[in-house]
Amino acid sequence: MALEMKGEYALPVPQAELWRLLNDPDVLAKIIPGCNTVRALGPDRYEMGMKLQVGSVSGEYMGNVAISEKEEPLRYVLAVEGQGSIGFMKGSAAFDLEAQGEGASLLRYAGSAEVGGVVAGVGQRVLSGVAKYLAGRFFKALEKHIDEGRKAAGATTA
Amino acid sequence: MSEFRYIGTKRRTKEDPRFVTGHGRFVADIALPGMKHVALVTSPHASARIKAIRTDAALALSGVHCVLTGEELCAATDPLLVGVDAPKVTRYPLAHGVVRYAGEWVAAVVADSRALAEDAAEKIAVDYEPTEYVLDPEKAVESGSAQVHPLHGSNVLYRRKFVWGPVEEDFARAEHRLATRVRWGRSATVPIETFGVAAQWDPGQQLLDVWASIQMPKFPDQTARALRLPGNAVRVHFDVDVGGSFGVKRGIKHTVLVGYLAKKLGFPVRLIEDRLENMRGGDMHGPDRIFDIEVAFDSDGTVHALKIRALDDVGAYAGRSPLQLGKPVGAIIGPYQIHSVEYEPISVMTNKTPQEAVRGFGQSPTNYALESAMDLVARQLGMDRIVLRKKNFIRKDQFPYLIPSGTTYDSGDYHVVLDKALATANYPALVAARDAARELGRLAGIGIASCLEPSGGNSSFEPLFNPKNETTTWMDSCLVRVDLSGAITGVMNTSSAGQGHETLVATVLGEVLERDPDTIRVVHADSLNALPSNSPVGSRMAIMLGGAAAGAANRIKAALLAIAAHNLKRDLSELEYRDGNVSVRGVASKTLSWAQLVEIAHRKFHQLPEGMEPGLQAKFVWEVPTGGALPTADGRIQMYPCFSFEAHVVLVEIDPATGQPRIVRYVCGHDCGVMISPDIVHGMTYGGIAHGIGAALYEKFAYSDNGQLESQSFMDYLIPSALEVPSISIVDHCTPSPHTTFGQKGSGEAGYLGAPAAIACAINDALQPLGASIAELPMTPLAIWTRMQAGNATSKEKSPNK
Repeated sequence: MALEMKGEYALPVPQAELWRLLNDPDVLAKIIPGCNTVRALGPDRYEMGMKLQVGSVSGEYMGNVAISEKEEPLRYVLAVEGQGSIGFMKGSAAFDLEAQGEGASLLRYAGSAEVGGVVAGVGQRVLSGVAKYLAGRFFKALEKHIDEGRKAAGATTA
Repeated sequence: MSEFRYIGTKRRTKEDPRFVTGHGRFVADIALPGMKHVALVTSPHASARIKAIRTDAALALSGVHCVLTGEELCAATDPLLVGVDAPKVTRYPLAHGVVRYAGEWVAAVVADSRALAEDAAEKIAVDYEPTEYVLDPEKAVESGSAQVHPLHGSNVLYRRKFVWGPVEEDFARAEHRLATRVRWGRSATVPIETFGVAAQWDPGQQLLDVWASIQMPKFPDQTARALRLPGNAVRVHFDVDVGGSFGVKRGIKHTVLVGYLAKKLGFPVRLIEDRLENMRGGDMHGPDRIFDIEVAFDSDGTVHALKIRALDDVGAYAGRSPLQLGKPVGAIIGPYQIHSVEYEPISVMTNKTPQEAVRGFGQSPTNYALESAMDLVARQLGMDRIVLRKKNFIRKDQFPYLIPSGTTYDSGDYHVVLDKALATANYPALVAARDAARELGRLAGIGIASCLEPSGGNSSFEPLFNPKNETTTWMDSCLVRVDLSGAITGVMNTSSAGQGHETLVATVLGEVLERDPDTIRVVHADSLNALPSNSPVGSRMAIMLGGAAAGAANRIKAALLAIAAHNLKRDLSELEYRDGNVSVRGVASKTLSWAQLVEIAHRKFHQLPEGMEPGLQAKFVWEVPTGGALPTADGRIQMYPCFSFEAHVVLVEIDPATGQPRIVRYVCGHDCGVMISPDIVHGMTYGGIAHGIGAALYEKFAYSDNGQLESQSFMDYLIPSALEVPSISIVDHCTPSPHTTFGQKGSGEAGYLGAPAAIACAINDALQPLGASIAELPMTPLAIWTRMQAGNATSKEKSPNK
């Protein structure tokens, strides 16, 4: 079963800073929904554990994440491949970073994923909704991280 | 007045009180001391090599007793039975080495509770290497396709071209020919109760006890063989209520798995599927067929010959599923006088959940295809659909009627049944309602379908489709006991899944022995106590169990008469049997009562006629009437003995904005001979029509391009609810069968066999003004809406030229 994902999100950081954040495994571990472990396998390659709940189905995935096609600070492709108790998933998304004036950026993403196993059975409508929700959580977490960074920086300066 | 006292009368069924008051005993009610529970690890891939299975994390959990994988199970058991000659298509309860469909069982976990077993199952890590798969049956038949079972050498399980009669000559002679393709979608029955089985091994007796939710021929034998046990080391308890089956409750792989675990572990083990396991891996999908049909006919509507190619996608393994292409051979021309037929059934494997028997065993798809072809003939000739059908119907005076494929239809009165249905529907008013709706810009259509329900299942498609199988009997039996108190007990020898067999047996015994059926108890023997039975499949029990019960009751009656003759010192011809008492005709004082006769039989050997067994019991084992022969070399065979008939008349409206159909009127004319219990027949027919509405409009096991079942739950696999099932009128007619004890025919598949054809016909009638049509089930609102848009566009393009 294939899932299409597409969207954009405005973030209050300069493009170069956004690029840095999206390449920091610690940040990724924090903002990827359900992610509980990250281990670097090599440059731009990580092993990741995730726990996810999709509708009535919940379970753990172990998988690999790889970043490729890097064009700093404009674009990269994030590929995820995992399998676990509730099935497998395999997908990739292209992230496009666009500067929006001085201190802001627009992040566009477009990708697709293939899922199989029990999780495929919760239904296309639910899965699309869940994919959107997960993407939302990803950006919310990123925004929160930025916000926390700011506050921490502000506190240090003061 | 009816010639019967109890048969055909409206009486409460024997089973209802226990179901209505919550006293049914289903497999989930079986609580064995120390029983443990099974959960399953299933494949997420349509096709993959299993590289490794890591079970340590699961086994480390407290309360987890065992993780079983295919490696051990396949070495310790024998493959499950394949219905056709394909010995390399091996199938075991658990996958070993490779998985062949998403949902296939890979490992089983046994734990203290089902919840714990599920948690442990999640901790089992399986490394898969996905491999090439095939999902499209038309690609699967090609030689270059990915192979589901490479050792078999092809995905084709069965293929044969039967030619019955001068097909080519008839085609050459006919004034017209047409060709069409229709497709029956992958649906099934989805009973409320999923499959479940509990098993217990007794090491002292070396005996495996099985309680299961089953409806399966030769189930104890198959279980024992797969487990490499003697037949008498497996005892199946047939007194477990089955919460719906309609064909699919076969559960052989479940039972072999649970039986193996119970024996290995030494404590009772139970597996009850959850809905996801049932839908993905329960191996209960129904036929999934592409029909290519050619028809040869004349301008006056006479249909001379048919060519039917039926490609059936049975999924990744084969049990009896290929045989579902065989049953239609016995009614291949439907209710019509068609002179010659070419039939090419092709059973093909794909990487999908396997197919199992579904109500009608392949007959409903074939009826849909045949009726669709008849509609096209009418359309091409500009002839009324009813007139066309009546023109071709076999007439009442033509029975017994030999059809080209070698089966003789027993009896029927098709013209009258269709007329009765049309009268009940008030057909002219129905036409007026349809036309009025159309005037108002709405879409409305009338569907007409007529079809046969072959009944009395004799399984003669087994030798037809597998030359190594010489099965020519498909008997059923009944044992009747009259105890010392004079109470009657009927013993049947299989389980029931809501068909009302206890009512059937009690009614028949009451009828023959002239005793009140309410006082008669009917029990289900376990398989070690049972007489031969082939289970309630193929609409056979009214005929076969009813016939066996009557046979046994007649033996009891004969014994009572003999005892009376001996004690009254009269000739049998002078005696009269009434209500269980025997009198000398015309001499009321010379009577031996039921109680006296029973007393003699049980206690007074000195008063028994010479040579008579003491006690009062009789068994009767009955062979299917008209059965008993192997097929001819050209594949002609007498299939089932009895042929019920149904005629459906339906009015459907379609919401022009959404494509959602609504059934406005539904009438089913039905002739299943003498009805033993009219309430049960009507209940079956209502349920069958509801099921047919599902197949026609809603139900589909849809697969994604990567082989994932997309409709795994009732959110996506839509079954008709009370909102989608209209009020249904059933009109009875009775043409007795000459082959059965009381003139009864079967009706277990009634309604379902004709409803999809009728509804499809109505939808296409509704779409006709748009120049649109659909030739694929289910006709979902989206499919209808899509055709409506295409139809609208076509009509608009055409309009400037008008």
